[in-house]
Amino acid sequence: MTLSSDTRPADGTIAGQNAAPVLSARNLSLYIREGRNRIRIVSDVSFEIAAGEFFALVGESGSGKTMIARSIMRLLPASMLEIEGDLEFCGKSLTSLPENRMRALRGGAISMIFQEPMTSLDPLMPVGRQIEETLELHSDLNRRQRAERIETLLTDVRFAEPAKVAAMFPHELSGGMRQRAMIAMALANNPQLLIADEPTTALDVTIQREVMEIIQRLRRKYGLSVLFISHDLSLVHQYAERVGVLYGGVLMEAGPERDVIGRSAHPYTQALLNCAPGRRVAGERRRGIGGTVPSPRDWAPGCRFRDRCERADAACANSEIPVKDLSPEWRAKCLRPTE
Amino acid sequence: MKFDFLNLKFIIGAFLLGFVLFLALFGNLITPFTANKQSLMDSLLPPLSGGHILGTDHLGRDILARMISGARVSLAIAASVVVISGVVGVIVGALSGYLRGTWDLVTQKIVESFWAFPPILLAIAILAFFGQSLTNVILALTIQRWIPYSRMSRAQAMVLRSLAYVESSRVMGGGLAWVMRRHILPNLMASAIIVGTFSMATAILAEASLSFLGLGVPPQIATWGGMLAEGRSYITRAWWLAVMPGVGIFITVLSLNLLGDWLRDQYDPKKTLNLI
Repeated sequence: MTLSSDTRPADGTIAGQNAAPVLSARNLSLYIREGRNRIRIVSDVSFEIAAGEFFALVGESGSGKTMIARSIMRLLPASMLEIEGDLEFCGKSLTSLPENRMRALRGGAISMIFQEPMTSLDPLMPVGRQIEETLELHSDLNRRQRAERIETLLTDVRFAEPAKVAAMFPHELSGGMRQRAMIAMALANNPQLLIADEPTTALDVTIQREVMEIIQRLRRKYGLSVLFISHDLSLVHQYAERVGVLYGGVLMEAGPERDVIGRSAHPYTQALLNCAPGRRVAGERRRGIGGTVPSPRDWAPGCRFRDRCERADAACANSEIPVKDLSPEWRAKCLRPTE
Repeated sequence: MKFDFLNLKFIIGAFLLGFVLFLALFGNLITPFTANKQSLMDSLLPPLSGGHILGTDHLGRDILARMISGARVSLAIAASVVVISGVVGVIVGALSGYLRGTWDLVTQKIVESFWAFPPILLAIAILAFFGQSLTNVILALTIQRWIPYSRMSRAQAMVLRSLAYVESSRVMGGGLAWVMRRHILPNLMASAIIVGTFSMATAILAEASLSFLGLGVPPQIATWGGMLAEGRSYITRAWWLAVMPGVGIFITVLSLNLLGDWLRDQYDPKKTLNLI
C-alpha cells in the first residue's frame, strides 16, 4: 500500500506481498460535474489492496470514501463523475474499460454490499430468486445447479434453513438477515474483491458483530480481498489489516492497522481516535474535533485539516504537503507527524 | 398482498362491471332484435312494450340491442386505449425517470406540449384530419392518455433508481434492460394498474363525447354517445331514448371508478387495517 503525492511506482516495498495487488488506485482524483464547473471531491489518493487483504478506508461523512467505492464500480456515468488517475483491478485498468466489460466485472469479480439492508432487496422478489439473478447474469449454471449454489451460499452466511429462507420475501427478514442475504448475493460468483460500504452502520451492535464475523470467515475461506468502508474505528481496529484515513478527499495516513490505529502519527487520526468511545485514557476528558469538515467548494491550498489542527502553523498553508515515510509501509501526509 | 374482496366498493364495482360485460358478451341471448333493424311501425315504443324490454327509438330500432352494441364499442375502445397508452406511457416514463439526462429532457418537453392541448380538441382535430374509423378513435384517445402513465412512472422510477436494490442489481452486473425488466417495471405495475382503471373510465366518457359530437366511430355502428345525441331531440316525448345510454355510461364509469378506488386502497401501505 502506498500513499504518495508524487507518482510512486507499485514497487516491491510492500512487505510479504509478491503477487500483484487485486486493486490499486494511483493518484486517483474524482470530480463531480456541476453544470460547467467540476468540483474535486477526492484528490490524489493512492492505495493498494493485496489478495486476501482486509483494507479499511476510514473517514468522516463527506470525506469521499463512498465516492471512491462508487468509482471502482463505475456506478456513476462519466457525465456526472470524472475519474482522473489510475484504478487497476488485477492489472487491468478500470477507468478505460468499456461498459459491457465493466458489467461483466460487477457482481462477478467485484462485488459490493451497501449500508441500507432494509432497501437492498427488491420487495417483490423472494430472496433466493434475487440471488439466482446474479447467477443468471454471470454463470451458465442450470436451474438445479443454481438452486444448489443458493443453498450453499445461504448456508455460508449462517442461515440454518437455507431452503426456507430462499423462499422468503425481504419483509419477512430482519435487518441482519437481509444484510447476510446481501452478502450471499455478493459472493454468488466467487468475487476476488468485496467492497463493503458501511455494511454494519444500520445494524445494532450484536448483529454488527455477527455480520463482521461472517465477512471475516468467508474472506479466509475464499481468499477474498475486502475494501471495508467505515467510520467505526472499533470495527476497523478489530478486523482491518491495513487502514487508510481520509479527510476532505485526501488520504492523510495509511499503513498497517497496528501503526495507524495503534500509534497514529497524523494529528487527524489522533483526533479521530480521541473521539472514539472506549479508547481514551482513564481520567482524560474525551474531546471532539473543533470546527467542521470543509466543503469541497471551499478547499484552499495546503493541508485541509490545518484549521482544526492543534499542531498547525503558517507552513501548513503551503500548497504541497509532503508525504512522510514513517516506515516502509506506513506513511502520513503531514509536516509534523508524531515520530 | 392480501386483497380484501368483502369491501363494498369492490362488490358494487365488480357487480356493475360484470353486468355490463355480460351484456356486451351475451346480450344477443336476451333480445331477438338486432341493433340496426328498423321498423317504422314500432317507432318510439316505451319500455316493456311489444317485446322491446327497453323500448324502441324513432326508427323503431330495439334500444336494448343498440345498448349491447354500444357496450361492446365502449369497452373495446376503452380497453385498447388503456392498454396501448399504458404500455407506451409506462415505458417512456420509466426510462426518463431512470435514465434522466437528455432522454428525460426530450420526453418531458413532448409530454408538456401534449398536455397543453385541451384533450377533446386534440381528439377532434385528429379525427377531422384522419377521418372517422374505429382505429382513428383509438388513436385520438391514446395520443393524450399515455401522459398520466408516463408522469406517474417517471416519478416512481426516480424514487426506485435511488433505492439500494436497484443499485445493487446494477452492482451485480445488470444492464439497463435487465434492471428495467426485473426491478423497475414490476415495481411500477401496481400504480400503473390503478392509473389504468381510472383512465379506462375517462376513456369511456371521452369516446361517448366524441360519438355524441358525431365524430366517433362511423354512424352505422350504434354507440352510447351516438344514441344520446339522437335521443336528445326526443327527450320531451320519449325520455328512454336518451336516458338508457346515459345509464349505460353512468354504470360503467361508476363501476370502474369504484374498482380503481378499491384497488388504490388495497395498495395503500398506510391502510393495513380495514374495518369495513
